[in-house]
Amino acid sequence: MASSPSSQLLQIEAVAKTYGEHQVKALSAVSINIARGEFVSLMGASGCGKSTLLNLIAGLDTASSGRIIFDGADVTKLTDEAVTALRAKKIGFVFQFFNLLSTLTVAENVALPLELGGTTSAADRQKRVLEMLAEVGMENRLNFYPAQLSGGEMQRVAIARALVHKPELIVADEPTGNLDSENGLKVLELLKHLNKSLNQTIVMATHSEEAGAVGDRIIRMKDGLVVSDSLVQH
Amino acid sequence: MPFAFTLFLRFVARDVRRNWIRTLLTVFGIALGVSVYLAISIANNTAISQFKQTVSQVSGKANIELMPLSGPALPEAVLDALADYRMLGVKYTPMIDEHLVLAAQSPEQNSEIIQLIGIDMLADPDFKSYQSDANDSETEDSGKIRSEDTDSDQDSLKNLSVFSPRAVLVGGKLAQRHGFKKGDQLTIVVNDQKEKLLVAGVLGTSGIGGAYSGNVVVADIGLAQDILKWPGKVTRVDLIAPESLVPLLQAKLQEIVPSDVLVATPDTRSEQAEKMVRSFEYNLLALTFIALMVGMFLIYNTMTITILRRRPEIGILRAIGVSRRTVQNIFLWEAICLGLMGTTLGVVMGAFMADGALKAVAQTFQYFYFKVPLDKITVDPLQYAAAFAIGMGLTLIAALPPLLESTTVSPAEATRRASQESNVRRSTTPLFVVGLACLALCYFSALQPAVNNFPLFGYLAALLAIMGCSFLVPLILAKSLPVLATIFARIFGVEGRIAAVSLQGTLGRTAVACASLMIGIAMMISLAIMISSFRKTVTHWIDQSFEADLWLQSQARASGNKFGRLQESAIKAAASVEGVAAAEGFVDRSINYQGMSAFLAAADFDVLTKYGNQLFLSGESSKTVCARVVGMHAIISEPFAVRKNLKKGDSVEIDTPLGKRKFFIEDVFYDYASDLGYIIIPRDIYKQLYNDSSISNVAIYLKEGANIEKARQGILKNLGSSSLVSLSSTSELRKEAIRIFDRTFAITYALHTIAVTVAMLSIMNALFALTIESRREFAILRYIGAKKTQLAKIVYLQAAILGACGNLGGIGLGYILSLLLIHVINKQSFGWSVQYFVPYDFILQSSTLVILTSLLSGIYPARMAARTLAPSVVRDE
Repeated sequence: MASSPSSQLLQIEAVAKTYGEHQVKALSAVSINIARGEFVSLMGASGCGKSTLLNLIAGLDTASSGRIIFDGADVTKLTDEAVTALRAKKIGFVFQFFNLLSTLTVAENVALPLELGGTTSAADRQKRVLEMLAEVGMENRLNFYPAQLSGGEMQRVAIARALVHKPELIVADEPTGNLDSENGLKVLELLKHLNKSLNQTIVMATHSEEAGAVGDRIIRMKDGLVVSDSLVQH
Repeated sequence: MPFAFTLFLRFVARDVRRNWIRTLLTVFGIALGVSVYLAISIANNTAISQFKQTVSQVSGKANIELMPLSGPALPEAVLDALADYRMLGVKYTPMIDEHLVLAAQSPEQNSEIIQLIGIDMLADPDFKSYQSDANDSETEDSGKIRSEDTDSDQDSLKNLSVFSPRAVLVGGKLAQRHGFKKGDQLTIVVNDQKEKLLVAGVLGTSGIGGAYSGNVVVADIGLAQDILKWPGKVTRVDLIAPESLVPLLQAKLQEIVPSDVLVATPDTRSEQAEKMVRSFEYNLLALTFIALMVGMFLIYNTMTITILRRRPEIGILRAIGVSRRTVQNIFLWEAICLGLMGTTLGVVMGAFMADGALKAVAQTFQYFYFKVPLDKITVDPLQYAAAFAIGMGLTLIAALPPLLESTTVSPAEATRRASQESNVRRSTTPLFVVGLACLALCYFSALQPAVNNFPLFGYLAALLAIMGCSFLVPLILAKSLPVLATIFARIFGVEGRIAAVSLQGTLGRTAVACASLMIGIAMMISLAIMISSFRKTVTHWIDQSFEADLWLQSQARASGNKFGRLQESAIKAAASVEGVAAAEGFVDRSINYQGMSAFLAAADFDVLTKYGNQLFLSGESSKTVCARVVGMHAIISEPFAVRKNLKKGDSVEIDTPLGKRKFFIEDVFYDYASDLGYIIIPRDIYKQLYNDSSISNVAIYLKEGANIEKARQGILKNLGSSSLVSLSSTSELRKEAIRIFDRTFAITYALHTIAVTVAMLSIMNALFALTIESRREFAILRYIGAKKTQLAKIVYLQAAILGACGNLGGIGLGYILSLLLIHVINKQSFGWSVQYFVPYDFILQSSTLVILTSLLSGIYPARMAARTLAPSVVRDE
């Protein structure tokens, strides 16, 4: 899939990742370009390297070789502090198991990335949190704790948290993997809606064909290699 | 290999190894608790066993003793009453057993207290053993001593024996320390005079030569009487009677000897010594139990955290068919292993620390109770076994609740992470109620009187206070942490809030860590309050009561021999000096009052009425009370009054050489010089009753504006240059009193430092656990952009919260414990009224130190948090 360089948010160039003494290959020379506003589904069976690729994109893991250019910066060359700052400002995460902090309320969980960044005022923060919770339809659960929510609701809160600091990229790792089909569908619709209405770039790892089809483009992986890259006809 | 054991090795032992730092902290915590207990037990036991050993070495084969009740000696005329019993096979011998000051033998040395043993050299071989090993000197039946070092060519030395003029035998240890050998001279200080003695030989280390750890000189009884200026008096009479006759003879002799002579067995003295030091020993042991209790919290914490962390796996084990009993057993083995490692290490450490503990308490024993040398610990395997049993027992008790928890959950429940914490949250209110009940019981317990002079209910109240406050902790934390989260969020930002709410989320272990720190700090605070109050009270007492300007005493008394005396003429010598307004003679002697050691003293109340300022419990002025102390009237010290349950208006009956005499108690005075207690009677009555005009010290009051230095010179001149005396000002006396006070409490400082160290280990342990438990949260925070420094900040803030909460609780509990220590335990143990004083500066300093130490204990966990590998943690989830 080709995009013009100026519109590209992410360029992954021949990235490989091996683990441990036995040099187990998780990724082998993967190259992908992702444009701004794209909704890309990374698909493949468990262990194909989807999550590894997402972690490398977010700078949570380091590539064994290759380059990852995110918004003009080579993630593989950045210091830990710079990668952390990049993550804090430009990337939002959505996990399979929601990963909300159980001791914080819904509003506090969503406000967390803004608070960690520490740049916004309390009033702006509150306004932004309310906006995002309204966006995901959770504005009436502000003071609930995660344990008081359903799985679908928790994932919506997680999405609000991922979006609250207006990231360039949302990285979603199996966001529907722990939800029933009805709630899963609602979350996918929400992601699609955010992609369309906010022009939000999303990279979603999934092994579900149904979920993958929600994206604009499907990249299939197998044994650490990209085996296909195609647009989805909606 | 049995399945349970295999499971233990794979499921538990590997986990213990993996979490080796936490394992190490726990083991070390138990070890510290056990080691201080053992060290103090050994020190206490050494004091008593050395005393017993000395009694046995000095008494030899004697099985009955005649002892004085009214002073240090009894008239040897008592021997006449025994003559008739010879035909029954009873042998008897008089003896002297008294302190003596050995003068500094060279400018580099200090004077020291040794023991003078005077025996009838001809009769005594039946009673005592002088033999020693082949390398030591030995004695012949004649009492002549041969020394291997003897130069046979010197005729004078050849003929030198224990019967030679001023000749004595010297204990091996004493001789070794000073290089004494046959023919040498040694200088002693008796009262205010120096005297020379001749070394007739050196004794071996066994038998009487080993008594008082060899720090003895043995003389023929006539010489001993001459040295002490005790003509016709002996300390004791030892008897050897056929065993079958002992009880009968004891009863018969008691009828015929004077009323101020006690017929007893050598064991009686040991029993009295044990009684005398019991309060002091129990106080020390109680302090070591605090360290053990904090160690118990550490075990409880470790086991709770282990089981909490592994609940999902326990659930899996249960689901695949492992029985409750097997699960329980494998964790029981973990507790046993931790206990074994900690207790064994503790026993080894305790054995090494015992020497230091003995050194720390030896001077207190020697100054206040008995002057038996305590330079080497006595090893008693039973003590080690007891320490081991206590360490293991407390470990298993502490591990019991988490062990039960591990088996009472269903497989389904065990796999739910939050169920344990919700159990804790549910039980906060019931625990709070139990805590309040404990505190109420503590209050009622504190009001109960002592049981046989032992503050049983006082200790129970302290235990209840500790338990009560510990049970209050979970609810107080549950209510205060959310408030703290809001405050911390404002001050420290989101990290502050996460730190507080994470602690709230793991309330169970937060509460345990806080409680253990609280107990450690409470011990520190309570002891600091007690010591400060005590110090302040003593200083105030010295300032108020010691009105005299100068204090005169013999060199022997100043060197530590409490019974060093001066001639009565010293009073006149002092009073006649220009500038001296008055001089008051004071004399004291140890007596046996109703089976208890005490001091009988005599003072010139006419002088005290004019110049003294004794503080009385009644609040009456010293002038008024002292004016009434004439004839058969007395005043008694507060410790004596408390121990014997006496008060103003009662009477006290004492044994005197002239028979029993009853004194009316005019009032009770505050006194902190001794916990054994004083009865003070008018000196003129004392002189009549005891035929003793000597004095222990003279309080000298100067006229207004008189020059103290001039007066001092005048007094010394009047006493003459041959009189060796000590003349101190009140300020010098105060310094000395405070020095003795600080030395007495040195061991207490050491003990509370150890308890706080164990508590800090508990904090570290909790932080480790919390950090491990929070890995998921830290990973999520890393995903959403938290910096490593932010994660570390969270851990440091948690450390600070734990430290601050433990500290606040510790100050509260410490306040309660200090009230119990001052007004119940010490009052009932020693009888001292102590004015309550809170050392705020110390509390502020220690609080700062505790929080700083808590922060330091967070360094490693903070690093662990910062190193969290987010993807692997989330993937594991």
